[in-house]
Amino acid sequence: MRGKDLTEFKQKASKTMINTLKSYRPEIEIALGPAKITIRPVKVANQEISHDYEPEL
Amino acid sequence: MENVGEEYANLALKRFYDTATNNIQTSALVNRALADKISTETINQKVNNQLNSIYTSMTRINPKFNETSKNYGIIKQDILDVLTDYELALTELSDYYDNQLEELILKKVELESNLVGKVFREENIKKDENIRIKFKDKDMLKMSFSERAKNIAEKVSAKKQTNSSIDFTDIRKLQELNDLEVEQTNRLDKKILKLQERDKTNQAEIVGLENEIKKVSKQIKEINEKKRLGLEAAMETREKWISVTLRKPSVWNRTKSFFSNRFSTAKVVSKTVIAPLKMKVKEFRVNELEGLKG
Repeated sequence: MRGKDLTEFKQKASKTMINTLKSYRPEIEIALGPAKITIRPVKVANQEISHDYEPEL
Repeated sequence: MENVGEEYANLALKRFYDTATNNIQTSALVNRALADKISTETINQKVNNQLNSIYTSMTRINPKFNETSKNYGIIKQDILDVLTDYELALTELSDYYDNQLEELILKKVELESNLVGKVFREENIKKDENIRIKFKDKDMLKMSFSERAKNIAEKVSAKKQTNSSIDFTDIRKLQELNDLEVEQTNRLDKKILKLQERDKTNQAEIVGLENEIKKVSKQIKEINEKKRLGLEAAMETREKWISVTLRKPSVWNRTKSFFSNRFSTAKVVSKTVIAPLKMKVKEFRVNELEGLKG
């Protein structure tokens, strides 16, 4: 994996995330009401790499 | 007013969705990049240390051995080859751990996305529950039973006040209407209870997912640490072959006046420095790497 492009992993992660979220699409759309959303890959901001990095949901 | 509240709640949910999905991806990428960073840093450090050891050993064997010396080019190529092989063996070890890490990171992405979905399902159930509760209070059928029962009750009560005879069918109708009202209330309650059950199951699944995410995060940290320690320990020997090699020059110093013309520094370096390292890499591949990969 070392030296491989992160883009490949980003695509894999994005696909996994979208596929999972797609199975909840009706719930997501109903809960959001009129402000319907489109499930799409999101842009990833440049993030400093740190051992303690743990984003909160 | 109610619509404004709902609109606000939708906006808050939309914001949660955007932030959460963004965080899931960022977290995955950061974790994946961190795995690379640990490998690169540890491997580079080890290769540099190995290179320094080789040069120190070479200088101790013959301080005058340098780029202009005979056979220096051959030794230089040998050093490059053995170090490339050494680095490759370490990379193979790091790849073994990185593949496990990649799988775990993707599993975390899946679990976290699942969690986002469950949060929305929870919102949806609550919304449904509120609608059902409102519907129950305003249910036309229930209200009509209640209204008709009220009318009959008033009629019976008026008759009682005037001491007129009370019609038995009125009492029976009143009872029937009461039963119908209770039945309708139960039917409506059943739907609400069903939603509450769904909410309960969903909540339990959310807690389960949160625990699972914590477990996977812990596993990621543990494998990263295991990889770092594994890379650091790889091909390091308890016998310290380099220091054994370093003792040789002191013996050699005493006899060099006699033997100096008969020794080839290149050969000594190749035999005592490069060959043992080549052997270490070979042994590491056969004994440890193949064992790990199964």
